[in-house]
Amino acid sequence: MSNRWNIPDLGFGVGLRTSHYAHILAENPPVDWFEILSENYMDTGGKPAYILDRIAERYPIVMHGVSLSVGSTDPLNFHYLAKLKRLAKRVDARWISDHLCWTGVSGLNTHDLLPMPYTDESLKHVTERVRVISDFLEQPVFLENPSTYLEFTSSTWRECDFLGELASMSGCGLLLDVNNVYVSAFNHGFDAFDYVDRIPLGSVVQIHLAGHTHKGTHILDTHSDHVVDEVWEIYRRVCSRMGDISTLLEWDEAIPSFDVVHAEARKAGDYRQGQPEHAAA
Amino acid sequence: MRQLRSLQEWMQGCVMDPAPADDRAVKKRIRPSATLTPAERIDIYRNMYELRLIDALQVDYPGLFRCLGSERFEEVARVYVRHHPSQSYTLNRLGDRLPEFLPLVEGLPRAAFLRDLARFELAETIVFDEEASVSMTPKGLDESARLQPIAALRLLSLQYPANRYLKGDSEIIPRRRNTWLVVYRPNKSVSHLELSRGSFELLQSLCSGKTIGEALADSKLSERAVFDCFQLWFSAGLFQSASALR
Repeated sequence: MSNRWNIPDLGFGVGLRTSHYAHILAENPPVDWFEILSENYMDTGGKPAYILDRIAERYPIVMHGVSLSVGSTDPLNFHYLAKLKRLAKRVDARWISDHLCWTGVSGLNTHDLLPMPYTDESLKHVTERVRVISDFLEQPVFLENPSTYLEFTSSTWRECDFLGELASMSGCGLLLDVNNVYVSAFNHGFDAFDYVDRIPLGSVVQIHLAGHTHKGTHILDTHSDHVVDEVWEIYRRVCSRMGDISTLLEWDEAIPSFDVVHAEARKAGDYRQGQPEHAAA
Repeated sequence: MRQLRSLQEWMQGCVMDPAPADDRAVKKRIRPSATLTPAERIDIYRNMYELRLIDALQVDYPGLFRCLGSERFEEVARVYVRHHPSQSYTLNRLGDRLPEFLPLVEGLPRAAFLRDLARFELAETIVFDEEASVSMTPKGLDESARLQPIAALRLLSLQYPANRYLKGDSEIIPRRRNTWLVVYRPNKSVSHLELSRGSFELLQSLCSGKTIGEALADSKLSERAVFDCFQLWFSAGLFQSASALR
């Protein structure tokens, strides 16, 4: 195990998307695990829930959300958390993750992963909320480094150090999105390799890989293409430093056939040091 | 938490406001990058905000999108989102107030039809996500029974046959004709039935909790029509239980 929760390396997973339902149910592709977008299944008793149940019978499921809003200064939404907990139980989720961000305040929701100012005040605020959330969910919560398009003048921490300190103080684990590191590094002009080198060993339980859209002046995290070579090299660096960690390929726009997405996920094997533990067992 | 709160309120205002933020305030709070000014950086979030919400509405209202066309739909959705920003953790509920909003949109032609079309699409969306129920058979029922409809069922009384427009290939707006529908999901797929006014009222009575006897007493349907209705509704799986079985 390479993390302090002794969470096993699940191997190479794929984000579950509706356009692949029929293929997965019919073909049982040899995917190591699936990650679901929690909010897509929390409020439905219809076809999506039925299909998810079938897939959860066959594959390990990990839950990844976009609405936790852990950094918001609005009160936590326990109605949402209760649904999250219920879904985790239903699909026997291996773990639950979301993002280090906020999505809205004053009762409104922008449905975007808005950036945090990296200040002592933010650190204290998010630390307290992570503890409450973990207590409520009765399991650790894992937070992903977001892709961001701006930095606040008030920030006094580097994002990577903020995440490391947050993990240490709150007990949360990290979902290291390597593409997001690359995107933010370009947008803000920092060194992506230095960033991943500063993430504390043992705090990362999962890795995300994805493609993006280069706009010339900035990069957008669109999950709309293959993973670029530079991101693969950052991934190699993470694996060489932290060992093999459950790795998930996200593809959300212009989604190709399942086989293309799966093949992209399996490429990650070329950059790893060893084999996933479950495959060796 | 005061500074964080203040910053979040300010940034949310910038993101949700269609007009660009005050440049001095932006420069005070946001760093420039090597390629973008502070204002250009916050504009990335501002532009994505409305597009994301308009896309979500388009997914829930494909018929309305088809009828209005891309440009007009986007205009309407933009105005709607400004009046009714999301207050939920899920985008699924973003469009709940759109049908009632449409008649309020200035200069929108055929607003009554569009409202009906949106009501039908909203009913389909709600029924799609409702909890699954196991349908019952009519065995052993008598007039004292109160029937419990399946959760995934909505009744709609419309001024236009919006269902025919949505499910058909024609781009011609149908003529005004009172239309009564039950939208339901007996298993995994959403369906609907077009009902006569009498059968709609009978089903409405049953769904409101009246006993079969009470509902029949209020109904003007013939015995034969009632028999046909019950046969159709039970075969469609519209009911999940009855409270009084002999």
